[in-house]
Amino acid sequence: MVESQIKKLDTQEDFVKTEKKAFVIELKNIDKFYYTGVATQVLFDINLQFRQGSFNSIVGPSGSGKSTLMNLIGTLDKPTKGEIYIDGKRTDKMTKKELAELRNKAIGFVFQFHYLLPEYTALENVLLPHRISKEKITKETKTRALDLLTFMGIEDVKNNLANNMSGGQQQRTAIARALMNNPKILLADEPTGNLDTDSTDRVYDLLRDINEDFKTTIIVITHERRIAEKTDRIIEIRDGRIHLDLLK
Amino acid sequence: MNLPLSIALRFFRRSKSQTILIVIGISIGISVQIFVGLLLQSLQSSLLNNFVGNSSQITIESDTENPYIEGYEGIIEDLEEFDELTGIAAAADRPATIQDGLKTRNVLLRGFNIDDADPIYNIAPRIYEGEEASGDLEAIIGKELNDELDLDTDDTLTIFGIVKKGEDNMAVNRTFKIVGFFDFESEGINNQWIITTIESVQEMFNMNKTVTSIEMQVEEDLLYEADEIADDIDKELDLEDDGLKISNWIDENQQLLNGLQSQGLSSLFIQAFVLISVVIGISSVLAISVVQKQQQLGILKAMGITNRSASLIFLFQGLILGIFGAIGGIVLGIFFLWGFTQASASDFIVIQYNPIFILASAAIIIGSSVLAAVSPAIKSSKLNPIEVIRGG
Repeated sequence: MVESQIKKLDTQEDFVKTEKKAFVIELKNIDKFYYTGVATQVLFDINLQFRQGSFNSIVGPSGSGKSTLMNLIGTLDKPTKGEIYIDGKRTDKMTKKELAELRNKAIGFVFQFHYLLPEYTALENVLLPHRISKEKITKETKTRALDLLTFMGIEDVKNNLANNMSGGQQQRTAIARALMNNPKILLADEPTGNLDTDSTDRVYDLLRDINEDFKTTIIVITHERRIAEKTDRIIEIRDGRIHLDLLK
Repeated sequence: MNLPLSIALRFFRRSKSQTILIVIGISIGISVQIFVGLLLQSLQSSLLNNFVGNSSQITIESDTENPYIEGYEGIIEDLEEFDELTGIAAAADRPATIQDGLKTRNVLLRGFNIDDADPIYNIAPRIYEGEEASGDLEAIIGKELNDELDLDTDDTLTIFGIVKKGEDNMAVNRTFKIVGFFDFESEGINNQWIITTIESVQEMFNMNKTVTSIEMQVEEDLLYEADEIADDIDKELDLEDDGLKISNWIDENQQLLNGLQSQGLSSLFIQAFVLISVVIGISSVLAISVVQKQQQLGILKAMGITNRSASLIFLFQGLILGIFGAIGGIVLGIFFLWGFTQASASDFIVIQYNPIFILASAAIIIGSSVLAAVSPAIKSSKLNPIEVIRGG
């Protein structure tokens, strides 16, 4: 642990030196202001890079700016200043339509409240990102969705509506859904915030498997240090600044 | 299936009772529109039909002291050039009297060429006993008049009249054979008209080959253009030069027309207000639906659904509500009309299930439903996924 902390600055420098294309996500000099009567700055000159296939966590107390950071990475929000590159493409200048397409193809989201569409079954929920991409549902697509549900260990509930599943099953369905279009990046915002310890451990084991099997870049946002320690890199945000960037 | 359409349908299925309630609400609104619209259209049509359907719509008469029109056959030949006219009949009308015991009753002796008058007055089907008057000194009388006179077919009736001879008036009378009885469903006509042949009146009143009017009917869909047609005839035939004048039902029945127009306008108002309330209903239900479904919309947007597709969900919902509301409304509206005709003892109104009106109403309501969905659709399009996701 101590060794890791000492290593952190060198590691960040190493990242900068590495070839640009090795980074699937790159944030350059990001400032973010919110304007609610008065201008409030929530992120200060953030510079971050994430390697393809890395397993990362962003930690920080409530209000530290970690969710804002995730929204920026997930292209749900735009920075006030700075540049963001996803898979080598600059996103802060993209149109809403281009961003929607990018999110659909390159990013999978998992949220604390899982947000399955209760109108659809588990399998249908998993197929949604593919349907959004306006591509036909082929036999192969369906097989992939079923394989993902099997990978998550929830093939038994594939025809259940969201309300007929446990919290852990719903969250695993949400992860399967996030992986449906084989995205390069999986963003998970407090993915186990609503789960008991057993389910939490199960979800993190799954995330680890996904990272290893699919080489998906995973970024987990959490306020719990214990959970962050399950990942390979911990970025701590405090008061809108990177306080710590720790590579195990 | 198209994804926004599929989501729209799933949203409806998820809240079945809410969906059924709103469709019932829309259907009832549309049924009122269909009911009021068709009822008033039928009422207007029945009124018009009763009022001007079987009477002269354009009439040529003398404009001088001499009521007789000479050379009327030539005028009829000219009128036959007008395609808008469906019936042209010369009439020799003279006021006359009959004796009913000690009472003297005023009547109008109407001489027609039966074949010409039938398309205008539809006489034959209205004879409930006997036949049309076709021979000299044959006549038919109305129901109410015969209730007083109590005649049978082949009975005779003496009719008295006045003929002007130079400066003097001379009384004349003829005995007519009653060959039938008619019912025009109008007490005035049934009481006053005695219908005979044109020649019988000409002979009795010493009219030679003259008539007192030429009566016409126009094509049904040109009924409201009778005044323009009359003007055309007037210009074409130079009637004024011949001491004749032309009149039409529109100029003579301005009050009825105003009444019909006001009725039509009030019907439009009722339909418009029904439509507005239906549109407001749909719009508010969908606006609530956007709020109810904002979590789903937020995650769909995070997953990459475009703003256009997010708004299409609600436009489809508007369309679906409109289609089902229109179908339900038409079925209910026709059912209400059927119930109305069953409950109504009078057969005065003949309901016309005007398919153009029904289809146009359906198209308007479906279009309006989609319009009602525009505002919720914009809300859905503008919904920011961060707000939803942050809200938990």
